[in-house]
Amino acid sequence: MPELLEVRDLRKVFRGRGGHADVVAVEGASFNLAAGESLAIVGESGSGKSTIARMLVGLETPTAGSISVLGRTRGAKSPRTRERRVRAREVQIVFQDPYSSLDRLELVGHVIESALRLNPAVSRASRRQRALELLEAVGLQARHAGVLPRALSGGQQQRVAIARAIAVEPRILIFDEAVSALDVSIQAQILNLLADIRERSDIAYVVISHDLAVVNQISDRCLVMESGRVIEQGRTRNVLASPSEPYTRALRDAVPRPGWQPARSPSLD
Amino acid sequence: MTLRLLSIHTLTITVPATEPKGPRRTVVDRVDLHVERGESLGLVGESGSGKSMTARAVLGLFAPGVEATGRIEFDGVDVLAMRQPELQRVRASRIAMVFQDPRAHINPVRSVGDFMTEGMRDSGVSRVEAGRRAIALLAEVGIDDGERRLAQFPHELSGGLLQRVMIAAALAMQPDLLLADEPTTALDVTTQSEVMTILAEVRRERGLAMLFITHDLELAAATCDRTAVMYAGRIMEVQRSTSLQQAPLHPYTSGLLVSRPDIDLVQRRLQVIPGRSVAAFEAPSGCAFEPRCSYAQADCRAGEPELVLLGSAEVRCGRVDELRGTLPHAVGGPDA
Amino acid sequence: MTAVAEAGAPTGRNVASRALTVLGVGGTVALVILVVMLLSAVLAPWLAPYDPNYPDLMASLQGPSAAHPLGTDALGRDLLSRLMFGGRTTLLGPLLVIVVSTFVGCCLAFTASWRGGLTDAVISRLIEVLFSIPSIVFALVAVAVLGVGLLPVVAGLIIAYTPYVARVMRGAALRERRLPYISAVWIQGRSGISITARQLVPNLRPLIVAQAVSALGFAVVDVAAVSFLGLGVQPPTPDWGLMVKSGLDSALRGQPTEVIVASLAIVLFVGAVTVVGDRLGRGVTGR
Repeated sequence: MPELLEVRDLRKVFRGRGGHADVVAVEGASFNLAAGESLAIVGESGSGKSTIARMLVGLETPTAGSISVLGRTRGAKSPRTRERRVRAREVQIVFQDPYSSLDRLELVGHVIESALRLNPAVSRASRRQRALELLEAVGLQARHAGVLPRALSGGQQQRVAIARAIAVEPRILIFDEAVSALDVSIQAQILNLLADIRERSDIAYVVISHDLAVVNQISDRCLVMESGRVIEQGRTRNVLASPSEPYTRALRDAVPRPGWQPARSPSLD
Repeated sequence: MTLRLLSIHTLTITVPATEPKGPRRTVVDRVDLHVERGESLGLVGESGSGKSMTARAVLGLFAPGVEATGRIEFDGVDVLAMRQPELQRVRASRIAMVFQDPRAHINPVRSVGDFMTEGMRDSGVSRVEAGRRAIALLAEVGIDDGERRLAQFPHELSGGLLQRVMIAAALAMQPDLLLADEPTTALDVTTQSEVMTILAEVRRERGLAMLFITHDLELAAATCDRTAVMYAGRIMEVQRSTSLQQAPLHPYTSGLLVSRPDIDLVQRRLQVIPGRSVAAFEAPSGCAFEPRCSYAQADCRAGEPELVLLGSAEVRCGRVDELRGTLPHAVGGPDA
Repeated sequence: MTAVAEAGAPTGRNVASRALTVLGVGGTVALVILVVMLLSAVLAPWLAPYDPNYPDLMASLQGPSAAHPLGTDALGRDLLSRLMFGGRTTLLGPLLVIVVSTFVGCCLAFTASWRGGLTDAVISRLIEVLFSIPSIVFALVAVAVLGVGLLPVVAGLIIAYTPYVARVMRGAALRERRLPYISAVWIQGRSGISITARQLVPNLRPLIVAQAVSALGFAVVDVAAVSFLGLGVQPPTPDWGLMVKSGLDSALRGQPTEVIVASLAIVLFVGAVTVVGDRLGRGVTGR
């Protein structure tokens, strides 16, 4: 049985313009994802984690390497409309900034209904009803369907983005720092919501985050990335409890928690 | 009793109404805070808590339309009553500010050297001497190739380096108080750790006081002597950081500590504070936190609790005596 | 806090208050001036006191009087009526220039920004080339090829103004495309045309409008200038540019009224349009 997602030797180079050197954003990344699993990709800025997310969802094309979903290897070129529609039912994404993730001119209910068009299991007549159900499933109310995004808080807009993403019932849902911009108390609510969603179906998650505590809470396995390379992989609990790489150790040691004191990391300089 | 360095009394800040002829909206509600010389105070809150407005008020930085009442005494003199020239002097030499996004506060077409020496040159220091001092300041924040950095431009420096430059520049005029508004929020976590270490060293050496604004309660409590928690424009709790983390006195503080995911422990579900943060003008009468509080009782709706002194701590909770020592500070209860 | 966005019916009072909010006092005054000028042009056949082409040599070169509030020209024609009718050609031609150049410019811009690659390179070079030539030259070349008259001038200016629109809108479209809400619908498999029409254009509409209104002022000046040179609208059709020209002759004969009122009309219109365009533009960037 093929894995849900297989990534082999993924490489992405951004051509340098105007005399600047080429930037190798991702080099030799390989990993798998099974149905129902949650994989975190951890790293700081410049690690390449966001680039991988964008390649998974088609916003960037790999320079080399392969991405296969359900055994079907994807072409290397930027996908045409028809291919995108097929992929839409495989992979969806929730972005970091809740305030620019929704069309500010579109009513919330319409955002969800528009996404439901892609879902063949939902007939035209039942779209409206399903949209309201989805809103409730993400912790909003039916009345929110009739408002514009600017009437909602950041946390609420992020819930709409999540509802939009799960409307199409994708196999894989990618979260690109999706809780980083939220208040602590809202972050906790959304993390619980994501756990609920995963429990109800066999949807798989790819969680891009720099926050190791979030990663520990919501992922089964994780990849640690530094400067475009995967330096460590494994079950999240093991990687965090006994990291084998100094960088991973430095990352873990830098997370504020009770008893923590900030320190410089001489090993990194 | 020695004069406190910074003493904020009944600070209330209002912003214009949304409708014409509507009432002005309160965003900071009768806040009392103080910072002693050489001490660091963390000011923690979520959106709408009013923490940033409070910090900016200390420097008299108000957007058009924003009004403040109350007293902000810096070394005995009321900042809110100051005229522009005096306020400029205070800003130039007594209180320095470091912002969240350094790139928004530095001129991209001028070199780092120009930026750092401008203030010094204005007060008559020679070019050579100003350059020498700038290099020394950069060394203080851990930038050893100062000579090279002075010639560079802001876009050539990473976020972390640029923030260190901002701190160095803030130290140039030997301030007594540093206001830091989310200085590490936009930085990587390892860079954040470095910057906080540098801040601690620099403060220790100069006896510099700091008011540190952040949404990250753990960060504030780990790096500041005392921590204050704001909600809906009000102070809910102020305590020495170590005891705040071990024995929070306010349900909101407890909620914040407990709802954070843990790096070692995985929970089936996080314990959440239900609902959303509100600003002061959206808060109900009675306790502002009551709608979200799992310890709320009927009395909590009746009237807003006072900020009560409990030893060296201050708490605004009607049930503080009953709840004392029972509020969880981490997953697993108060003794975890 | 969740204040539900209201779509209230536009009553007189709330249109006025919205105008004041968006445009400010100066902008609203400018808008009123524009509306008055445009209305008097449109309603000229019913509002003008005289036939604009009716010569009355007995009354030639008169200053303002009760019978002729703005005086008469060399042929005794009423200046107020000529000004009102003149508005129709002076303002309609530029309006056509703006509408067509905005449409074509937007099409080029959205195609270039969406396709990228070779398409974008070709369109961008084309824009640069057209940019390097002053707009008047296009009008003059068009007249040389097609003969004198309003339509050739309009055709030439459409080609001249398109690159301005295209350049501004291409940059705006490139920036807007990067935003996650566009990525989200792209991932859902919507076609480029669908996304452009249903997401990009509505979100960029304030910019398109602000830009078009500002350009209208320039177009009026360009059309009037070509008419002044005798290459645009031909006499006896009333036109402000032509009136400036014939007004100069009258001024030399001692009666400056025509050249003053025609010049003032142009300046007033262009000034008002620029102020409104600027205020609208400010609302856009201040987001």
